[in-house]
Amino acid sequence: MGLTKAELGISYVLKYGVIICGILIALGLAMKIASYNESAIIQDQIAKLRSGQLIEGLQELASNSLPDQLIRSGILLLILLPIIRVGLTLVLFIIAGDYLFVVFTSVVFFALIASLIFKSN
Amino acid sequence: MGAVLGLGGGVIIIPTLTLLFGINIRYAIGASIISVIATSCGSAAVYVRDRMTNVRVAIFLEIATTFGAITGAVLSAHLRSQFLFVLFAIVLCYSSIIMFRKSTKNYVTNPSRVKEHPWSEKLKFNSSYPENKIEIFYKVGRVKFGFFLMYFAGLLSALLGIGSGSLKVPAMDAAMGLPFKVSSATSNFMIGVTAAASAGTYYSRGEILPLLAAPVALGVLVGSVIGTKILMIVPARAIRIVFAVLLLVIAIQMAWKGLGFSEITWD
Repeated sequence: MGLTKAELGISYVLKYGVIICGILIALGLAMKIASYNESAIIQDQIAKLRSGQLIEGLQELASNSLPDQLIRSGILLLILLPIIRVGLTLVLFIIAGDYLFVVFTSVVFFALIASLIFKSN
Repeated sequence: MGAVLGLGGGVIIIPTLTLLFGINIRYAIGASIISVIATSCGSAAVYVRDRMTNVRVAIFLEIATTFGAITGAVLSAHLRSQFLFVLFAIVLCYSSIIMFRKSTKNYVTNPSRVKEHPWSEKLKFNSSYPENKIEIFYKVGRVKFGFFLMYFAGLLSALLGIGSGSLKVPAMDAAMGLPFKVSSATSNFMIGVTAAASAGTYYSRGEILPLLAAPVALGVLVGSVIGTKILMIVPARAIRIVFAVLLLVIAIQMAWKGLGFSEITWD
């Protein structure tokens, strides 16, 4: 299984990818929390959170500020990580000349991409 | 938790968010599926390094699982919340039973007794893994059945926001004859990909709430680090038994909610 060394490399990409996501999310959340004291609107929204309307409260808290963008990027990157793994594995099979598995891996890869791009409503 | 029990965190996250915090199950599923990806990717390196992951089997089966997941994610928009609760309860009961069995006996697939499937040779599934400095060779059987099972594993994973490890591992282990450690490692790879497929669909539908998913994912990441430390102190068997009971209790509560005995948010 000559694939193993390369697969190991790919899995380290995943590991560090998760760490980066964690940092992005943690940073974004921390910044968000730090801005709590600065606005009456936010205080109002927190009151909503406390009173049990959790989802509405969270939806109103969301905005396009930097902290939110950090959080969103972290989450999107997390979704992308397995897709990246499959993509790199695809490259691996191409290099190894295993054409049957190039086909298989491509199917999985494109299904993943499609799920992200197409709105299914 | 996942490291000790061989379960993804999804079975805990969803009930906690829905029962304890009263969150709509759809958003809970979205948040949970993100955490599942995090757990899977974070631990991938360990399995590959130990040469347990069978990439070819994983990719091949992943075709079924991914399409199952996309089907499930699309389907979930059309299903009533209560149905999801009841379905969840059923899966929890099943996981609980598996956990009881794991804590009472050690089953080992004997590699030499596996009847090889004709495809295994052509698709290069058969492989080996190192144990105690010996290379153990194994063959793969019942490929079509495994493929079929994986479609449903993917379906459930997407519908309920769980990793479905408890379905994937037995499918590979008992049905296809892969050694247990290989099944777990390969399942780990597949879980991440399946979750990504579901997450992709939910994301493009806007059903993932960043401010909900983010803290949940962080909590899971921190928890998994702590979990591996706990594993070194507390015997796994004790944890499994406690957990099996816990799962049953949660299963009953989820079914209770699903069957309409308490107030539910309709959607």
